[in-house]
Amino acid sequence: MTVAPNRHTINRHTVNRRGTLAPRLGLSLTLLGAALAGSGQAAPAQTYSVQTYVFKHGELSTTDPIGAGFIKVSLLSPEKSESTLYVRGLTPNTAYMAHYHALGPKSGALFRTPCESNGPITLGFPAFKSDARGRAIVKLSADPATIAGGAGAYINIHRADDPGDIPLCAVVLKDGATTTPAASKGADDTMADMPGMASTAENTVTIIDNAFRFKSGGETLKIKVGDTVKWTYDGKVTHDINSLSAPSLKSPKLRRGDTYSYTFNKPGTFGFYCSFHEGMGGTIIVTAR
Amino acid sequence: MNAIKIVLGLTAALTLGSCTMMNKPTTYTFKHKAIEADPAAAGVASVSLGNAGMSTTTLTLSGLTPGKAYISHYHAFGPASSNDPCASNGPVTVGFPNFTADAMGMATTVLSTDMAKIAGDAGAYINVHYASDPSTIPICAPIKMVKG
Ligand SMILES: [Cu+2]
Ligand SMILES: [Cu+2]
Repeated sequence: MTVAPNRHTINRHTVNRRGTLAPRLGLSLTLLGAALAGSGQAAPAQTYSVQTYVFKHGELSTTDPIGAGFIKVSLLSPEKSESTLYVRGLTPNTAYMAHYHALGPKSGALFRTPCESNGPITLGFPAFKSDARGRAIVKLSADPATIAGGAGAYINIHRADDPGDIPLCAVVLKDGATTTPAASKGADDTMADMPGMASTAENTVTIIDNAFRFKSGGETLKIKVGDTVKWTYDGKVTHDINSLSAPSLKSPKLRRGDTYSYTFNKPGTFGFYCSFHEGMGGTIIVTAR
Repeated sequence: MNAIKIVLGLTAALTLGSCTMMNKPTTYTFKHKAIEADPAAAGVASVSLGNAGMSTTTLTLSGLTPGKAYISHYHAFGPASSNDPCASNGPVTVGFPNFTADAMGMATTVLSTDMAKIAGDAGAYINVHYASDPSTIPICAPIKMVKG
């Protein structure tokens, strides 16, 4: 049995439980949708926008090497914007801070992205803690003028106990970005849409009552390192997913509507099983790319 | 010849009687899990070693819901804990025959299996589930306290 020395550097996983995470994600989108629809209410005549910016890992930081995520900035009205961070791959159960920063004093020739410009803090996100799986979703409401242009050039995330170490930073300032902001997503946006979290239809495992079925058929699923496998629930009784060979592959009790995703970042043969049912298991073979 | 036949016959009888007790059984006590189901549930698992590497495990349970169907399994030590087998979420090793609590909430079930199947980490704990929802586990008997 191979025990991963540190599950967060080897594998990633997310749980999306309909009824817990989804509504939280849906909240801003619902508000936004209402604003966009202008649904008979006194919706201001204004062009509203949603922009998504991707977090990059800080080149100087060795913290949270698989940290990733994006930030969605929604302009809800001329006076109100909402910025929501969706991050994963953080150190679990750890206090973090995130800030909007203004463009720093270094001139454009001296830094490649605003993230390296050492700018002052413009506005702080509420202090937050990563969950047991290293994920966090954090919302900040702000007057759009406060974070407009150079005043809100970038957003960085750091541990509360080490603000000097910046594992993640996203460039917000137009033209200052060396990466193109990802297209904004639709209303079904979930953590599964985050970069690297996508799973292909073939890599889906259906959970039925007392068995796992691979969409691809067969007894085992063959994937490549870095692929994500998604378990979708199609049964009536509760099941869970555990693995002796990949201990971080570990779902809570899953119920109807739940999904569980896990990214395999190491080659090997990984058995998984439901701890409640005799003979309920499967095997995933991960090969190098 | 006759003597050999007799010995073989005796062996066959012992094997058929599967897991005839050869020594004093070892008893393990069920502990209630931190859930609301069957708050008075309790019991013991008594494991006897027989001949030919066989084992017999008898569960004697009380405080169950009268008339309710249950399932019970030997589980291997799982990944979620290395010193609390009942919290380790291990895979099922062998299942006991299904059973139903009587009108008094009592039940027994007996499993005969190869000792090798439940030796060491392979038989780290025995738990009792609702048959209707196996994720409801009122009681669990730890057998092997430390993984490995
Ligand atoms: Cu199951
Ligand atoms: Cu069980």
